[in-house]
Amino acid sequence: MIALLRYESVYKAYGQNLVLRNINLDVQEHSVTCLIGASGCGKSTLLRCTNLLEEIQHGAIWLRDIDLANSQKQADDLRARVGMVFQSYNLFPHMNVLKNITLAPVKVKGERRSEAEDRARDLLQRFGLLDKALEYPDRLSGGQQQRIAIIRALAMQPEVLLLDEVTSALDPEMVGEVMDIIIELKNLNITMMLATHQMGFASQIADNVVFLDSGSIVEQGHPSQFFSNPQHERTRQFLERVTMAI
Amino acid sequence: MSTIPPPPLSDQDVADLLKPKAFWEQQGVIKSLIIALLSTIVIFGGIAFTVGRSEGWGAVQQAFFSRPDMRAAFPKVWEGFQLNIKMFMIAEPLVLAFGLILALIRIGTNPVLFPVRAIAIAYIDLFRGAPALLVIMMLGFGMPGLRISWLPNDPVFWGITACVITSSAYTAETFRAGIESVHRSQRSAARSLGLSNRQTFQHVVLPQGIKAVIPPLISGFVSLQKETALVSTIGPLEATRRAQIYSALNFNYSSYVIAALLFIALTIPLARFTDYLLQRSAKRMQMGGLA
Ligand SMILES: Nc1ncnc2c1ncn2[C@@H]1O[C@H](COP(=O)(O)OP(=O)(O)O)[C@@H](O)[C@H]1O
Ligand SMILES: [Mg+2]
Repeated sequence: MIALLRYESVYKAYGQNLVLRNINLDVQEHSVTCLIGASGCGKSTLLRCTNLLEEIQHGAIWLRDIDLANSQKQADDLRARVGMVFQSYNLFPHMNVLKNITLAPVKVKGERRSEAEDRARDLLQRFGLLDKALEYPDRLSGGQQQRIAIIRALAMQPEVLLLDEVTSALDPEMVGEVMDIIIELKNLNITMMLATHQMGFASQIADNVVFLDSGSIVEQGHPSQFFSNPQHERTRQFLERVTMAI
Repeated sequence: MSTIPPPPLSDQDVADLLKPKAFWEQQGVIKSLIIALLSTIVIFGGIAFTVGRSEGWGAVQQAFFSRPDMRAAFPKVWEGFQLNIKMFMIAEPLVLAFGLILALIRIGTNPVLFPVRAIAIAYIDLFRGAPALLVIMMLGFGMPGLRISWLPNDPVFWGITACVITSSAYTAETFRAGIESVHRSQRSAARSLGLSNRQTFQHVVLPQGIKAVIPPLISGFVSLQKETALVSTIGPLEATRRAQIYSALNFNYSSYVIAALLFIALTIPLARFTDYLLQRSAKRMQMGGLA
């Protein structure tokens, strides 16, 4: 089976600081991949490179048969095929919810406004947020904002959805509602790649857990093996530390 | 030592606690009002007393605040003031448009446009620092002095041009500050949805940047209104010039006071509007937190 996303010896540096080293990874269609690792290990950078928000210095990132990292010309089109949700929501504060969701479908895909709005309302309805359609982001709770941000990314019908610690900025009582939406997306067979600090959630939702340390993939595997029987000393230490913290 | 805690408040007492209070019922309001009142009486009373008792007050009052002179000067000053308004109304849209264009040129990073950017930077440095009065005089006297047949020699035209030149340099920096204040993550979010660089700027960065600097832009409106008065130095019969003429003929400065009052009357609504906008955005900050 050919992977939806394939990373081939990806290297990324910020100036003199090598942040990703020789990343080789396959992401299968309809699968959920969880990136875990200490703060600063390169999770966000890997996701941002996949979304072409950052350039890599070496290697290739294949989306099916296109090398994302080396096709600058169609970068905008490719970016639209990869959705991304950020830790800090990043809704557009000067637009209401409906406008936030429909901006890209209308401007990038050239959808008719009425069409895009109908679809946006469908999505809002499905995730129980239809009554917020005309609100501005500053009137919404963090959990609601993050769910809208996820819907905004989904409205572009991306082939893969990247989620960068989407629950980390939330008050504890709102984490659940955002996790629920992610679980729902998994049930809809949407391909996802998410960076998370929540091991419980990762073991519940992941098909593949990837442990990054200082920019390298140390170990990956199905959560049933990964968490119960880690192969590498560094993985064991990391898991011990995070479970101690909880 | 064991103390018995007091009984909880009855429902009625709790309801009373929650009842909205009128402004003057709130804690400390009465006291603050009294202190403000007393201090106002003391300060303004003191000033009025000192000025009123001074030897020259009668003469000053006659020279600056003479009612009959104000009444007599008003029609001409008012007529002149309409020219100020006209100059302002023509200049302000040009200032906004030109200022925005300058800011966009300055912010750009396209290497091909480097020479244009260098010119924009030089222009902004030059005219933001140059006193408006000097620019008005140089254009108003200098340009017609060149005797180039196709150049207009209407001083109103050159006055407006000078105002636009100086204000737009200043306004460009205001726009730039606003645009640069928009957080990087907004750009990431827009790009990640597939918006092009241009679309991101047009739909996400620019609207937020402009919104952030509306209060300083309105302050700029007020400065521009006042700058139109400086155009009098090159001849047009606007309000201050009219006031000057009256004053020269009648040996009385009350006409200037009338002109000043007209300018003030125009700026106060703008000032209150700015306050309102600032207050509203402060409230939003409190509510929005992260956003
Ligand atoms: N824009 C940037 N410029 C320079 N260095 C960066 C930038 N973003 C991240 N880094 C560095 O890259 C490393 C990886 O960061 P990041 O990918 O954010 O880690 P994580 O998401 O796993 O916490 C860190 O050392 C961080 O300091
Ligand atoms: Mg991160």
